[in-house]
Amino acid sequence: MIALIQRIGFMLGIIWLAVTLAFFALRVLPGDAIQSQLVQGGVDATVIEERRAEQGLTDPVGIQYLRFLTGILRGDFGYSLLSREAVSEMIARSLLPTATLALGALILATVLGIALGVIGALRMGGGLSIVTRLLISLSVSTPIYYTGTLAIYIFSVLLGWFPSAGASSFNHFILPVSVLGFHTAGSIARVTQANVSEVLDAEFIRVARAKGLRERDVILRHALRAGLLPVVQVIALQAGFLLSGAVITESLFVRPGLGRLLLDATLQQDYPLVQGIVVLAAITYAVLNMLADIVRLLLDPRIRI
Amino acid sequence: MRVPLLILGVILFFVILAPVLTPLDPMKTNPTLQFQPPSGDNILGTDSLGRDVWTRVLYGGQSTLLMAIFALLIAIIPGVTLGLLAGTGQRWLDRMIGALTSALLAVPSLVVALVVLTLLGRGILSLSIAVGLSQIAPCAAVTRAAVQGVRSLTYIEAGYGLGATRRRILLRHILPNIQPTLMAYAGVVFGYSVLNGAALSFLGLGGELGTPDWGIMLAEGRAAFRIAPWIGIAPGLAITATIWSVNTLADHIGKR
Amino acid sequence: MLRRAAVWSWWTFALYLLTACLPIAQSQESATTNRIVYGLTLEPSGFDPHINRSSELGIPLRQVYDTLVYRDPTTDAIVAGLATEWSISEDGLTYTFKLREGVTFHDGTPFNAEAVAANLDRITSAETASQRSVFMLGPYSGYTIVDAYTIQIILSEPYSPLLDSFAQVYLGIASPAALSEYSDNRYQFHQVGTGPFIFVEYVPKDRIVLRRNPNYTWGPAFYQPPTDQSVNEIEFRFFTDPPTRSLALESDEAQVMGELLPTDARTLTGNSGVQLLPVSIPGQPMQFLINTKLFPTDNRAVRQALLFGTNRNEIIDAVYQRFSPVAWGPLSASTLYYNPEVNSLYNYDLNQANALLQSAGYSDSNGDGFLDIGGAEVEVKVIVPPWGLIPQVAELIQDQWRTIGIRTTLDPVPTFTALLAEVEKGEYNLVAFDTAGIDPSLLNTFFMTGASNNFTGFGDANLDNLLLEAEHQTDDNARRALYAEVQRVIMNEALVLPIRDYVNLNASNARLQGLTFDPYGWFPLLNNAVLLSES
Repeated sequence: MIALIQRIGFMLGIIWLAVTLAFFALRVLPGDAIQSQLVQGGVDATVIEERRAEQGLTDPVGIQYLRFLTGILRGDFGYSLLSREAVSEMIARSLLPTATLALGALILATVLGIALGVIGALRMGGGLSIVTRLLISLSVSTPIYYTGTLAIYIFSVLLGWFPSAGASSFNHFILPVSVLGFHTAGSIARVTQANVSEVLDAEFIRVARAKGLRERDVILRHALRAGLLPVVQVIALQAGFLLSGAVITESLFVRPGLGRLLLDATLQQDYPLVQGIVVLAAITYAVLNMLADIVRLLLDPRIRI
Repeated sequence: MRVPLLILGVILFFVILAPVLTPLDPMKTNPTLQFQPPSGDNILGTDSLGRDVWTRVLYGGQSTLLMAIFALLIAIIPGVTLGLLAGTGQRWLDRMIGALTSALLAVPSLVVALVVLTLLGRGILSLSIAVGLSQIAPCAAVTRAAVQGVRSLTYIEAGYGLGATRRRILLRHILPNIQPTLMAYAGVVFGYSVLNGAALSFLGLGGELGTPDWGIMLAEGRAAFRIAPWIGIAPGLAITATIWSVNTLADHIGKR
Repeated sequence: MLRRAAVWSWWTFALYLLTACLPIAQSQESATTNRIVYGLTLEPSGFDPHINRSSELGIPLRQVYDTLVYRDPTTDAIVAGLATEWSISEDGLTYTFKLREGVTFHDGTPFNAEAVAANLDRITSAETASQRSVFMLGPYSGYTIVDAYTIQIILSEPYSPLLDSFAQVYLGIASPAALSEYSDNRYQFHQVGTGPFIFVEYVPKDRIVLRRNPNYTWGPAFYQPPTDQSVNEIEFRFFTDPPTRSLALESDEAQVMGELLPTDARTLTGNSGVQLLPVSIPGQPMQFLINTKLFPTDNRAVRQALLFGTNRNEIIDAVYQRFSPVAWGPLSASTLYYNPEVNSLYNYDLNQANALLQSAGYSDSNGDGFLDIGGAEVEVKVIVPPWGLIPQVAELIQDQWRTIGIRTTLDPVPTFTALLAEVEKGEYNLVAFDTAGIDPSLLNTFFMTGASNNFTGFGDANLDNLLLEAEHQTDDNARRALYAEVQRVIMNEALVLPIRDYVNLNASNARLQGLTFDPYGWFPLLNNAVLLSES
């Protein structure tokens, strides 16, 4: 029970730290969304200042920060400076499309990444090994915008197999998930390969073999378990990175979602919206980290969490 | 491991000796010759402003590799230090560092980049800081996980039992054991640095305008991939070859 | 066993690929016939025409709302819309609109003077915090409802662009019932107008859907009654990544698309299934404003030399694939009262440029290939935003000016606020910025002394008077003469470096016919669009 309370306390700490960092980082930038919109229309500087004052943007930063924190405590994330919708609503709406995209990509990346990594670690040699290495390198070295554009050209324009724009059916799901998943698989594969091959050489595996355990048990009981520990962490990290990956994937494949919401909000300096997304990201990371710790505990009970 | 060394050597040779290997100016536009396919004059063709792609690939390697190496150092040094502290230190330290990295991860890298480039101005160094900063937390998390993985190995447990100092265990036993994971992840970070730097430049957050860079060339090549595929292919191959070699070498070094 | 684990993973992957490749029905065809997908190029931060300011929002909403007056797409003249006739008082302070009878909103609410009043109240209320429409009303001071179908707009001083404002969708007339039912931040999801299409839904970041209004009979004269082939349903989607736009047209996932990349437009000219529909956008051309407050552009001769030393044709050929005309002055050729006298004032002419620089005392005394004066190196700094292919234009200009001995540094900025921050520092010689609109009164905020967008720093009582007089004057010929003089003064002082007239590179599926655009350029008129059946 105490451990649980501690955990929750820590999660709150993480969220506080993240939003505080984001809050002050954003305030370093000159200007804001309101100024940007109105200056483009040639509106008088005095009118612009009035408008900014109405939104509390001219108050001292300390006051704004306190207002923001007390707002969060009341569950009020504020309103977008531009559309003036509640931030929580805007985020809630974008959550599902991004979550499905990220989950699909993560599953594909995990399966593909571990497969490629294990094959690489076994050092089987020959064509398969070369193809595996090449795929891993391509995954880490080709940006989503390039593979995505090529995928659209080949599979939508030339072959006509899959639609490339929208999110209304399962078919719309395939190209973006494949592109994002392939891009994410590389780092999982890299770390899997390094760890599994390292563990295969480790002393305790040799000891286990010397004890006369069957090879299958040696590998299953010991090698894979130990070898996958850091991989779990990398998968958790990649799950988090999927938000940045979604920024480009969603634009390419004309999908709604958090990635585009974040991109627009950041470039337009719609502060309450960016802050809201940071809160969400902090919660996601805290939960993912906890999950990763739990999974690793299951893989190796000797780890202290 | 001769092949990746050879490839890397060749790439470095070409990139460093760019001024000797091409008489052309990578920045000089020549709009009447835009989108020319590879020919005797331009062995890799020309880009959208008529600049020589071969020349730009050579010079582009300089800024790309410098940027990626800086970014790698900025990410790895504090990242690994934090990860080791978290993995080997007291429980509270582990928790604190865990919280810090989670919080850092939650701040979008786009925001980090905007702020860094606003404060420090443009250039290769600020671009690598922007790219490197957002990779510190992942490096720390991976290191911490790797340390935890090897800590429980029998002989390390035994070392603690025998009263060896933390420092000694860290240097003698843990570090060598997690080296493969670290090297593997460093290879990944290197690759992401190349790509993320380009992604930022693409959003208008990059270095000087017109400065050649493999990632940016790839982005330009994408916009013209049907009328002039050669613009993206050469820098794309350069990136893939470099990352492949770096990764393979990293694996090899990690093994020793 | 590890091998087996690997094999198992591969199998899962193969299974995934297999399910991916199964011939599942491509997409659920909507039951509605004559449905099209229209590709927008960016998602505005909000879709309320009275609140938000983007041009993009007008593309769908032009179909949802009628305005009091329209501009005829062929003659550009102001013609009847929801107002059948109007008059302006002698002093220019009172505009009387006679409203059309028998018009109903999509929700059944009748249209009348009360409805117009409710819209004006909303637009001008401080709570609405309108980003655009309230400023389009100029010196608005109130209204008088004369009778059920007559309303007067009262101004505090004459303001001739008012009719132009009432022709734009930002002053589109919304149902007063809907306005009072939904609060300001909810109305954008439940918009109700009187136009040819009914607003069905708006899902942010995803789509806007419109369906044809079967009761629509009160459209402007250039709207034709619908036929069997008329487009009945339109789904707008956001194609924010430029290179994917032409691909969506080719795979028939969108039937209309705005702002193609010029290189893609050139590729599409070879595709018989797609037709290009380039539309010129009136307003300011793509231009650089020249700072008259900073060395060396504080010298008029230097500014003129820069204009003479810029090869616009080369820029338009290379960057815009010849899809844009050369711009010559502070207004593009499709803008009202454009003065053709500015044409060719600054033809590309290296001799002129060199002579001007020489006369200003510049020379290359240290032989480094760049000019200097009094021992000081000359350097021109340009603020370069990332949109509209401006970075490529700037890179070409940098090389072009090298031939007249001008050293140019480019200062790229990521966002408009970053551009503003750089402008506020004052350390720039040129900055790329412009705005669209058909009435030249948009020049006021750029060239009046101390005005908010006066990034040239130029201030001149004569120019101020001309601009103010043109804004007050309602007589067409008088305005034309005043704006002719304004354009002459601006180019004589070389305050702007115009590059190209804006052209929106639209394209559509060849089966889509009858799509025209209103004189503002950005906004399509989809009432007359028909979708021919597949041959």
